[in-house]
Amino acid sequence: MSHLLEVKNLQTEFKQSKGILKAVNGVSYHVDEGEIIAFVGESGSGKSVTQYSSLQLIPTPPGEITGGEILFEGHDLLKYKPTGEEMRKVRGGKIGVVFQEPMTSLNPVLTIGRQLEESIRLHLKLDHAASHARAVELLGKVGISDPESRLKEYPHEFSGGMRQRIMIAIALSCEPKLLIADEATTALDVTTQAQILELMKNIVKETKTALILVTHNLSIVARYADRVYVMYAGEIVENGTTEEIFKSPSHPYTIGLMNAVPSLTDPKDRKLVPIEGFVTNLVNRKDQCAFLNRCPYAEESCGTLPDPLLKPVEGEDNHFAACHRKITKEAKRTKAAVDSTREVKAFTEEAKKDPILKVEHLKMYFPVYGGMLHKEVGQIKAVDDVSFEVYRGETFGLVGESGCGKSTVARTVLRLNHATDGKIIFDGNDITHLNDTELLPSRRNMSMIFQDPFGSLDPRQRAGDIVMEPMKNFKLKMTREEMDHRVEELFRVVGLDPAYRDRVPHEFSGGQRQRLVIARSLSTDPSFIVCDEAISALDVSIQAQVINLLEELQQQLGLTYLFIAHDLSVVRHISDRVGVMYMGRLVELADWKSLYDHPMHPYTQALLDSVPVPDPDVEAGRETKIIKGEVPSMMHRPSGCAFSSRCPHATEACRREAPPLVEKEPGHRVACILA
Amino acid sequence: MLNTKSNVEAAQALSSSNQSRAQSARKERSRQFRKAFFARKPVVFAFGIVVVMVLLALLAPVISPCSPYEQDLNNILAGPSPAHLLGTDGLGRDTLSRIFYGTQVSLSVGLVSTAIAGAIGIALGLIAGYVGGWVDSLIMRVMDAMMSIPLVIMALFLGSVLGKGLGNVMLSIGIVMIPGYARLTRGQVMGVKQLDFVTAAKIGGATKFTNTVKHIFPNSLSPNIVLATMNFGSAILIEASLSFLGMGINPPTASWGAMVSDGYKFLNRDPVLAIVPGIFIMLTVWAFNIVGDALRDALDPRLRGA
Repeated sequence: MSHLLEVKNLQTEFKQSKGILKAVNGVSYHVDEGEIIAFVGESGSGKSVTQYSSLQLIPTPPGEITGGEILFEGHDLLKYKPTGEEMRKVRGGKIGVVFQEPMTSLNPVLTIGRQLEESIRLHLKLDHAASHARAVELLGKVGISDPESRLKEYPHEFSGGMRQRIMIAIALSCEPKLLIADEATTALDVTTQAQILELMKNIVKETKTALILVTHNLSIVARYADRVYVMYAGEIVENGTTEEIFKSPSHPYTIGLMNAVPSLTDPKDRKLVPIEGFVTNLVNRKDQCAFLNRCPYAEESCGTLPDPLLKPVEGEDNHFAACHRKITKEAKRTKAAVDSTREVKAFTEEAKKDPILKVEHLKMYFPVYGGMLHKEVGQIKAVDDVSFEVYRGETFGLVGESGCGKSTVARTVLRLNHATDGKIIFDGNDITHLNDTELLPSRRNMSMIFQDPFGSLDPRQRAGDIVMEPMKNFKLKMTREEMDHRVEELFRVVGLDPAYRDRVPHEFSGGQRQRLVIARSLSTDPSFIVCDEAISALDVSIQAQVINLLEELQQQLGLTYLFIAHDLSVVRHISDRVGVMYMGRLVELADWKSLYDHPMHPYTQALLDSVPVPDPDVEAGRETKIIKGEVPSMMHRPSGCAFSSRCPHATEACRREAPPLVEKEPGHRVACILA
Repeated sequence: MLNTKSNVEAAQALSSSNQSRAQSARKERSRQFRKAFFARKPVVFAFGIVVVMVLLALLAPVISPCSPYEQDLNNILAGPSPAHLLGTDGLGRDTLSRIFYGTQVSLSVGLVSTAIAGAIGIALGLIAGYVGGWVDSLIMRVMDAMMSIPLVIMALFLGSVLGKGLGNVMLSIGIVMIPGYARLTRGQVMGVKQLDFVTAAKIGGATKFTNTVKHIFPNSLSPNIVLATMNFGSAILIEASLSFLGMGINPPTASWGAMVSDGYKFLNRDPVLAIVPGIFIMLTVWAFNIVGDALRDALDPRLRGA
């Protein structure tokens, strides 16, 4: 039987000044009608380049497809000219693509109707009326209500999730045989991500379209894919059915990935096991296993053997792995293993008597200006009456979808914004209205770790100076030598080589940069650190390293974290107590266990339902309840409870009055009249 | 006091591989800088021209074959000859010597006026961008007002207020070019001050002043370097226009601009008189532009190849 798309031994190279980079090195895969396959791997693994190669979308030069066959419906696409008529008919006609960034893939100056109809007319050769009718039908199909009038709107009038739906509509417009979703849901919030993936899955079921999901997120794979290809360094290192891959991963890299990500079903004391080291430089690659330098199972013989090819895994039909050894989850590691469990401190009543931070009725409103005279026409209530306390030595997680105000809370607490109303009590002092000079003693005791490690480091400053700067600023009465010494100590603490102190930030890798940011945040020996999405920009293996580092530092130094993230699994892993925010308000606050085990607020329940788990068994037994609708605009907050517009249990009473956050069980506060 | 075993081991493993390189970090930096600076071939050539021009300016009295002021009215507009390699001008002065001496004037006008404009303009832009509010409005409205008047007219006006002479020409050209730097810097500052590393420094206890000087200023500088090299050329040309209009350098002092405008009168009879100083202006302006671009790239750690 022939496959819909079969790629054989694909090779793509990029010419660089220092040599040739083999971005795709002998990749073979296939996909059948109505099948969902997934490509998983970290950034730089070549998963996207593989897809672009199959569409002949590689920028040439410097890129070049140097070998292989791409058989689509029996025709070799490589025989077509990249810009030729035949190739264009395939691209966008028979194969549709949905990219990661929905804003940049839509033209902002054309209505979405025009963009959609153009694509239909081009490929299906329909007239205006017919293409319009088809556009309306497609928008309806991807779940956009009132398609007739929304066709006249421009991309900026839609939310991120809606724009991604439109991209899917465009991709579907010519009834493609194959849909490629390249990290299509990575930039979206969890509830929207679940909606979009559910939508694509339904389309596949209905129309027998094949779907290729390119993602770094193992949980998505577990929930949606039939078969999985794991890529590393431009090669497929393992492939098989989703069940096989998750049940008996047979390549060290796959095992490493699975051990590195936290899951909602983990025991709390599980320690994440990062994959040590970095991806080998692929320029002028050697003929040996590319994972060798990071592999915890490598034997001496691995270094002498050529690059391993995919071999069938014993006892399974369609499961292949490219490893010299026979590796299973239980295999003995040749390198020392990290402990698989960590100490979880019991949270005592004693600790609760000592809050390091108390936030009382905090409000942060931003004015909205408009009209000819630039008058204030309204307010965005980014943070609206939020109260919570963070106890010394704990990790307080703050979760919510983008725009819910969690970062604004953090910035206001650090006094980067001037609170509109309310009180911030840090270490017993009311710091709400202090000026910059009065604030200095308190500032010394707090610091922040940012999302983007590159953006938060001055590109022109040496690593050593970056770490030393706060010591100088706070006039710690240290001699130059003492400061030098402290910088070296901090470098070691975060696992950086002190010899790197003369480097500038761009000479470090992403994970090293985040370590540098952590070193800086520790330099004045603070007791309170805000981590604002501190790990979300990192690859999963690096993410695990940074999470472990943060946990170790907390244990040794007794640090308190305010940990802000949108990834609920990570927050569950690291936090002692968790607050959930929705549209500027805290809707639920509890210790991690009661919050994740018995969520009381419908929004928390919806969030948790949206998060996939990296375990196909759990996923199969789980009823996916996907919440409807999108987060309303901050300018048009629904009256009463802000969640009432999406809540499945909402009643008239909910729309009348906003419920306050009240303690329903000891230590578990909820803002819902129904809970 | 705070050490994790695994992290220390990791750090040691990292250090052994790179120790020798780190020891000579400073040497390595300057080597990298030179490598990045001369990465493109035209830069080598342009840098050579800059060096030659500076040498010409410094050594003009030594290498000039004749005095630039000595008139030989019997031998005006003479073509190239062994005595006068580039011939003589309308007053019988040796063109080559005047070009050498002119280098002094033109280079110093270019450098000094650019320095004046850059220093004041960048400072104003930093203040406007970082302080904001009414300070910003005031500074920028004054800059807008200055920009609304054409450069040469503005320079002419200032020149007539300040009087003639080399120093005043430099000053007035410097002043008219301030708004460009102020605007550019302000725009940069507005962007840079939003970046996380500025916030990070603020949390790390940096005052507004230290933050501006240490982080915002260096990261707002690179487009200014490009602007400065472009302005260097314009300054030489404005000086030429001023000299042409009689508001520039006092005759008989030689400057390239003045020579072009003098020679322009004899374009039909002796084109060399206008063309050669013109070529010198062109080469110098081009060379400074290329060197400026290379300097910006080499100073930016992100553009400097690892």
